[in-house]
Amino acid sequence: MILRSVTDLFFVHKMIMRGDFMNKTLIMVSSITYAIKARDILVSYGYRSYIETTPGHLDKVGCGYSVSVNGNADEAEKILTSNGIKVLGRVDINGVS
Amino acid sequence: MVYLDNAATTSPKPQTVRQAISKAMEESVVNPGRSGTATAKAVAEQIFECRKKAAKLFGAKAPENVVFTLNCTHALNYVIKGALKKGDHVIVSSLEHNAVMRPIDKLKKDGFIDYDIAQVFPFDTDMTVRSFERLIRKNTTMIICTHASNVFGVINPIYEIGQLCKNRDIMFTVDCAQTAGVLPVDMEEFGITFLCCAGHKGLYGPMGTGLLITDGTGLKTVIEGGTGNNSHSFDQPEDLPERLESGTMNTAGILALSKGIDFVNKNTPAMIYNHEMRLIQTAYKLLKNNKKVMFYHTFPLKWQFVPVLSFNVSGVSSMQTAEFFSKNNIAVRAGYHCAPLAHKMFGTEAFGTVRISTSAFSVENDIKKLVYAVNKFTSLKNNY
Repeated sequence: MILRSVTDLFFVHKMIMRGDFMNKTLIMVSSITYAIKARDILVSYGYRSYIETTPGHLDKVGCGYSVSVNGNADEAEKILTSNGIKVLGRVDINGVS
Repeated sequence: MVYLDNAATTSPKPQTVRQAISKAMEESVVNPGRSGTATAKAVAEQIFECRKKAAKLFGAKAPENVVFTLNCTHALNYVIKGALKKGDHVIVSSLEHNAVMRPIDKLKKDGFIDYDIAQVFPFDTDMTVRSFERLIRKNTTMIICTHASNVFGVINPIYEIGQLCKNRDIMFTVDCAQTAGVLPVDMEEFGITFLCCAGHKGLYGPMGTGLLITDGTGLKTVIEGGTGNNSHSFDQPEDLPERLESGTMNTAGILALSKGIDFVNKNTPAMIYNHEMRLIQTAYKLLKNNKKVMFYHTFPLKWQFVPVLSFNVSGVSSMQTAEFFSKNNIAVRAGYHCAPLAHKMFGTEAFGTVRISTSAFSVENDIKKLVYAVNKFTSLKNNY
């Protein structure tokens, strides 16, 4: 990425703070409904978060949904549980935590 | 056609609702929650959006507490059969619809529960609340009350009954079939445990839509099956809404209902209520001039009634009157409106009543045509 202005710098700083350059983590929840709710909560906290189907080999419950999050996954999980979202598990690119 | 049967289902539906149905049938023919396609996810998001709108409209704690059902009856059955335990005692109002009376009476006949009927004293909040309070027993676990009578339009004091339930730790179920989208309801403020309503009446959604909204209180399931989650287990999921939403959902209906709720929010329930009540009051005033028309209550004042008005033509069965209207292209409802308790209370068991009910789309000319038809009918020498 070539930085051409202060605005670019500002956005890069924002991306670093948001954890965009960190590993992606999948936080598994119980259904599509809770995935949407979880995504909305994380986005409201400034995270970049998306709804994803839980990959088959990681899906313990069957037909599972997850939210992906870049950044501090511990904090993201804490935010979700404090907002009443049941977290079924967590997966990052290095394995299941 | 002059359509004055909006308490059965509102007609016409807003254009946005009709468009949403056909759009859904063209662009959203997927099974949300069952597959991970982009379209399925997008539709699931729209369904969640509808839950959010409904939760906000009724002051529910969270969107996931909004369960989609087929209609209000379906929602009430889920509550009655899902919340009550053997040996429980239930109190219902004397204005309940058969959507409450039939399931509750079946449970009683099966020896599962017992129930009592609390007399409603129209417009006397204290007497009505005392009437419920007097019937409370040690094993009373639920009070079920319609927000407003589907026959006579009388509004029940659900806020006050809700406070009674809160104080006595009793679950409070409210049938909002006739009030959703018309009267303000806040579940948390009113102390409502379960709110049931149709999606196709005052919320202007399509038929085949209804809502059950809980305060988070758990329910046993009445129907189990595929929910699109937790598929490895034979146990029904614990979490709402999936716990109560087995099988493929009425996606097109829900997306259209979402537009119906938008319509209500845009026009505001207060504006819709004022408009509909003004027409009902006009009908009452004009029909009152005809000595052969019988009413069963005083002038329908705002906040005492919802826009539903019952009457009869002296000496004629309600069905005969409605048949005459039908021939004159006017749609009304006649008979017993599935609410025998209400007829018993108002003394109309013999003939039933002719019921008119307005919507946001009703106009003064509809009322004038109705009044003209009534006057024509009563002036006919051989009408009965």
